[in-house]
Amino acid sequence: MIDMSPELVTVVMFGLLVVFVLLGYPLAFILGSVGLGVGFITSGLPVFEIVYLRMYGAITTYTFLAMPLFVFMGLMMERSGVSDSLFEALHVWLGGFRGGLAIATVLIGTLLAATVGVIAASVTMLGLIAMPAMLKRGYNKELACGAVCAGGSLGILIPPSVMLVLYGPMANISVGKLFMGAFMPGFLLSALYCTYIGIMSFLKPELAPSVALEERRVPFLRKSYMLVTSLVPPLILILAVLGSIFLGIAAPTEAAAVGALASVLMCLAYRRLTLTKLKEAMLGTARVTGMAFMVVIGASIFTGVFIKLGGADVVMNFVLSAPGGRWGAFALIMFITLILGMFIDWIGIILVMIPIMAPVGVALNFDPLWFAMMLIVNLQLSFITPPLAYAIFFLQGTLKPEMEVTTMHIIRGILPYIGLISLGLLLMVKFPQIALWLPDKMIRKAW
Amino acid sequence: MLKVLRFIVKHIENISEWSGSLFRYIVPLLVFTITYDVFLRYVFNAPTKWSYDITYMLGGTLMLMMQAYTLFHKGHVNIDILQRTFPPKANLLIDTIFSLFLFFPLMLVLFYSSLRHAITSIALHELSNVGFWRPILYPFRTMIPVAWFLVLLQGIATFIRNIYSLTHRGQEL
Repeated sequence: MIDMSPELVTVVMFGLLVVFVLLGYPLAFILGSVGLGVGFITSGLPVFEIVYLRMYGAITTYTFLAMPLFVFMGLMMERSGVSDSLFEALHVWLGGFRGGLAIATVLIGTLLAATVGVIAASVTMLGLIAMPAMLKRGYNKELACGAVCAGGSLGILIPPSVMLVLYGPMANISVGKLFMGAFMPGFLLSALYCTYIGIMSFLKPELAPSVALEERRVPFLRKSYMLVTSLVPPLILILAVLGSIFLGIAAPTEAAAVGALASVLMCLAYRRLTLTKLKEAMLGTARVTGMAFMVVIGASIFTGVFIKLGGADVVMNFVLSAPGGRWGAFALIMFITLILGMFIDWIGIILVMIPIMAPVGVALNFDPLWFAMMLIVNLQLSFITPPLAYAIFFLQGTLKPEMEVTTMHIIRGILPYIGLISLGLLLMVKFPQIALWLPDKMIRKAW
Repeated sequence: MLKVLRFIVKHIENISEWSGSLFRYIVPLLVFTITYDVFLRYVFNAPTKWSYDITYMLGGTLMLMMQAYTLFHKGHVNIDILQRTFPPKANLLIDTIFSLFLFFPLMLVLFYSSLRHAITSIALHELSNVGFWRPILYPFRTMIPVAWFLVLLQGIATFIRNIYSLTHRGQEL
């Protein structure tokens, strides 16, 4: 056994983590192995017991089960074809405005967010549906890419969100409360994105020309029918899932199961349900679950060893010693999250950072719920900041060579959204009620 | 010799693939178990006493039994900023060497420690103590080492493939 000071443990564990991650080995195994290795060197065989207990704890956490269920719900929604019909409807409604299609993209992203909750699915769907439509009508490539990436990333923030399902048990906050808290920040970002697109296309009409009149001349009744049939069913689903949590009827895991069942029925109603689709969605769910929970298990082992060896106190002291008092320390936390978000995927950040950072937030006397919302809005940046930016990867996956969109177009397109998200964060600092008002109105707060 | 290797690798991969196609049906089972309980609770005011235990056991089985399948399909996230600049052979070499100390020891420990717990659990005829239904817990405890064993097997299959490719100028086994 080698004695290591907590400071050394912190440097060694995070140092190894960063080195191996940059060399391209999967994060899940790195987390688990670094935890196991450092634990074994310092305390020997008893670490095997920690490894088992952390793993067992991770796979038997009831709340985590909402994750596969919401993923399944999202995959079924994706297969129901509702997003195609919704885009068609918004196309005829908003096409006449400058930038209307880009705004429609963000709006669908916002709504899909509430049903899909998996960023891969939202960005891919928007990339497939909205990108070709916008480019065909001569939209600026940067503007189109930005709308798809930013709109698609909202999926992970607006509830029911898989990210919050993982956040809750890590910080001992009820997932239901987190869901309600994330609602208004999510819509705030969505509104900021739409406003930005509106202003830009107003100032520079050549960025986003309005759609030709012939193409959108549809009788009013037909137009309304299109909007109602594509908008109402997903809205009912969302309201049923979130409403039952809000009213205290069901815990998030139960609401997720009911939502999963409802999404299958919705597919049936749209006449898109086949056995093949159902089996594909199950396998898709299973694969996401396998991927995510290996990270959960690895991160549980990592943080278990890290906290036991005193590393969390080192991080706490480091953050608390930041200049500028309480807000200086807070700015430091946000900065660390931002930098980590550029390199580590969000599941890893939530699972490694939250057990360590949530107590710091409490020590700094911030409301835990508000603190959580600030962190997850900040994590929106992690999807769009290179080098590890999921939104960019998924959008690239949908692009066709004849579109002539390069990675640089995408990166230039998302730059403004970094500013918009920062603006959203500042607004939440100034008006904490954005995050705290709705949870306060919940009927049963324990969930 | 080569034939034997090919036989082993192929069969391990079949097992991984099969575990995915089989255990995906846990998803509808989970949906059913939970919605059934919610339905009984609100319509008949009579929640089941077995739902909670069944749910976490099904969920845990889904999470672990999917690991071999996910590993086989290379579903785990990694960052490839540096990897993209290396030649493919260098990447394969890095992966293979790294798996020796970042993959196999962890999986061996997970397998070994869960095997010990499973044996104890069977010997004690352990019951679940989280609800008031108190079902037997050892089938669930036994599933855990089985799942990690499948992951280990898949890891070995991938390792053999990598070594073959490295020593045969990029050829597939």
